[in-house]
Amino acid sequence: AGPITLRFGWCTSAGPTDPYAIAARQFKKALEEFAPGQFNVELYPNRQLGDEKEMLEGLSFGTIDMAVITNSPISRIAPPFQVNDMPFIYANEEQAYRVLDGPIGQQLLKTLEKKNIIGLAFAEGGFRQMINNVRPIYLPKDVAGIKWRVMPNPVYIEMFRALGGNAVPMPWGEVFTAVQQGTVDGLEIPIAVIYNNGFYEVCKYLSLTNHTYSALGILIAKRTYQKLTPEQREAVRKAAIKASREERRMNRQNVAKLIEKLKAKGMKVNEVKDFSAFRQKVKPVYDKFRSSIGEELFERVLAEVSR
Amino acid sequence: MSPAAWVLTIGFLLLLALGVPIVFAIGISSVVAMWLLGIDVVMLAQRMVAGTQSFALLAIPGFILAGDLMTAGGLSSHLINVADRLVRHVRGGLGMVSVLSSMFFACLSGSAPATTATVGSIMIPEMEKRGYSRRFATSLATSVGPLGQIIPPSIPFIVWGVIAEQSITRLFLSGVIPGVVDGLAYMVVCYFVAKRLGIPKERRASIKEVIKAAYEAKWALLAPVIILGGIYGGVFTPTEASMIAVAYALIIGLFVYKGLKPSEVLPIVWRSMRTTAVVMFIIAAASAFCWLLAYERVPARLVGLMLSISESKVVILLLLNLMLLLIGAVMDNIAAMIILSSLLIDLGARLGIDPIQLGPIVVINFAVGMETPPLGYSLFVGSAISGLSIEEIARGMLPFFLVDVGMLMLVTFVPPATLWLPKLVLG
Amino acid sequence: MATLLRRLSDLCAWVTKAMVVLLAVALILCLLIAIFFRYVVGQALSWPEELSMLLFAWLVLLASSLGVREGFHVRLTVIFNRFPPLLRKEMSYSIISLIIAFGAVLFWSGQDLVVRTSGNLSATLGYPLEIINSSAPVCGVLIVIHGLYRLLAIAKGEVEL
Ligand code: NA
Ligand code: NA
Repeated sequence: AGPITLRFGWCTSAGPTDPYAIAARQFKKALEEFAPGQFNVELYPNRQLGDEKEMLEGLSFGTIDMAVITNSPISRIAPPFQVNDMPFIYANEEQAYRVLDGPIGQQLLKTLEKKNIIGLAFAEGGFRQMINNVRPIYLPKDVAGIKWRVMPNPVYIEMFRALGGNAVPMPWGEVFTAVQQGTVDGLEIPIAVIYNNGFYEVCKYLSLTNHTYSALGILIAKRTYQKLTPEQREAVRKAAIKASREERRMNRQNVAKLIEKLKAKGMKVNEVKDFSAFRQKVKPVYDKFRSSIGEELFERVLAEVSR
Repeated sequence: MSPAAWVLTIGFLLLLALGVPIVFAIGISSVVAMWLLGIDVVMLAQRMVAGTQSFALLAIPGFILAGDLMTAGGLSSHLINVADRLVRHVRGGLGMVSVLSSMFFACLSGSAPATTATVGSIMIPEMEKRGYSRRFATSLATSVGPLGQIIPPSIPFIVWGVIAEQSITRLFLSGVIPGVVDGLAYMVVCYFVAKRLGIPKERRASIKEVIKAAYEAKWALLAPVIILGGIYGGVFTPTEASMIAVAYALIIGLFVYKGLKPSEVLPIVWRSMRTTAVVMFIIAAASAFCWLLAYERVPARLVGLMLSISESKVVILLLLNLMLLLIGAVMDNIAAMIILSSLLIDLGARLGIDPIQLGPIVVINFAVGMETPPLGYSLFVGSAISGLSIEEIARGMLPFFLVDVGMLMLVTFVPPATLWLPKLVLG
Repeated sequence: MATLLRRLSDLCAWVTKAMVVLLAVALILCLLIAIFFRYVVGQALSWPEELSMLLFAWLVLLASSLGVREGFHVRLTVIFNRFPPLLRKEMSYSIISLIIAFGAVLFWSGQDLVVRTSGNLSATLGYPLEIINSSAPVCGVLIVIHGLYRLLAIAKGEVEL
């Protein structure tokens, strides 16, 4: 038999700095290294295999083989993943890595097996930041009174409510025009998206709020995985872990470069000093999702990040 | 190509040619392809439900219903009155009224058949009374239909915006100049046809008459102001604008013009939802079909093929226009747009075409396809209203079709025609 | 048997039509409420977007099933109409049979989808996905019922296709 074809999908572009695309390409490269000639990884960017919810279903049906998927849609089929979307839970990347690469991360990935999906590793989209046209965000009170476009996800809506902002869920295609014309004052997105979509043209302030760490799951369909030999499974696992580490390293380099570029484009960039003030404010969000995440898991994460 | 790829292309076209409804030709060829590829058939239902799930698509029932309510409530006929007073003293004036009123109506409606139905049902009998041939009157009403989807709001632009992830507001603005240029050129054709037929001019309406008509139509004239002003002023998104339009048409039709009886409302709602279902069911089924095309990498192969024919951007663009026109002539435009989307986006990126220009190239080609035989909703509506055969209408349409081809060249080869206005309004 | 089928189709059509109109009205109200809260009250609501999408899925799939009964789905007739009447009747039978088969596959596929995604939640409201996904098998069943009705109507010469 010839090499095994793995159809690998993600929702964003195939651009050189796109975190999802980097993860996919790095996986392809690493797998060739660990199991030369045994696999043919076919890449499907730009939602060609469906959006993230649909790709998750496709993985569980076994109709697609692999995907890189954002944490938030994963949490709709496996609620414990909501813990990663809790605002201000990770103060920096190292904390996130400690949780996600340790036993807690393994426990999270295991919860997907009920849905016939094998979770391999966590890559990253980087921290999400706030951009707006009203004022720089230093403290929770600065968020209040501003109209924010948010993702249609209860965690984000609750987070902006808790901070006193006006959360406006809006489809992505209209967001740029809406910011430009003042239908909304600002939004929250990762740095790379700000740059790639030219939001520096329509938004004045970039505040490095690091409010949500965007974890990306590298996933494989159980049906596909079970067809592999033990050696091939090992190669796939090792390749995914290697790809995630490479992607994190490259993404952090890119983000640092992009922040400088955004400054050069005229955005006023500020850092947030007092994260504890924010964490206090979003306490109600933690309480609200505590039970669906699982009390025990949530406490372990909190203990890990306050070490 | 794999057997599945053959089923999705040739098998699909064969079903279409034999008279299987488009949506089922799409669905059946998808099911067979899934079976051949060993893909779990659960994907059919998953893709079909997913195909309906885009917020922007909600504007489709909105604008269809708004258009139906405006016609029933008398807003449309008031607009035609105003157009009539403005241009009837010019030679060929009545033809121009058809064009002008369809341009007005295009600012309310997002669909070609609705525009043809509204303008045609009122204007064809009037034009016949005054010496135009029925063939010309019907051809004109059929040809102006596509203006409904070139001039915003526009259902195909909404669908394209969803697929290509471009701002629908920007896409709407990109259609304004091509739409107006096309309309003006149609008026010129009307002038020459009237001259050849020896149709006399009519009495010029006095300023007072014009003002009176405009005053009576003030509520109807306000509708495009609210819809377009709201969209471009950043007050609401196109989807929301469509719902505002529904509410406005309902209130004015029921309580101001009183052309609409309360008992008529629910039947009109049902009729509009039926039209919506025709369009949306195709979108839903095409979502399964397109997933399979992508899975089999058919679009990427076709782009490769097209790019291998010629190096020249001009030649490829001409080929692209020709291909879109031919496909538009035999297929429903929404279905065609969705099926070809990844191919077109890919090709646009490789040729370096601005995505906001690519939108009108695609949408306007297919809009013209609405009037070209054998399959075009505007054509069907024109034929249904006039009782003329499709062949006969098609012959009368030739001069207008040539105008459309000219406009397509403008859209394809003169980027500012589509890009200047969005840039001006939105920066 | 034939009358039973006809009555079943009539009943389904009536219920479906009423549902579609209700769904449409609810959809419009839902979006108007969203606009009202955003611009008049000044506080955006988070539920209307996803609720309206749920209503829309049902609206589209229900209304489309009626297209089989009423024959309103668009098709190409240029070649079809060139065939002699007898052959056309045979072709009509085949086309409707294909549509019925498609309805059956959609039903099968849809119930499978409902079963295999059970427990998954929607993105914003967190409602169980069975609520939206069951629109597919329902649409499939209705297509089969109306397709059979249509076969009967062709046999009696009431409609061509
Ligand atoms: Na329009
Ligand atoms: Na056509």
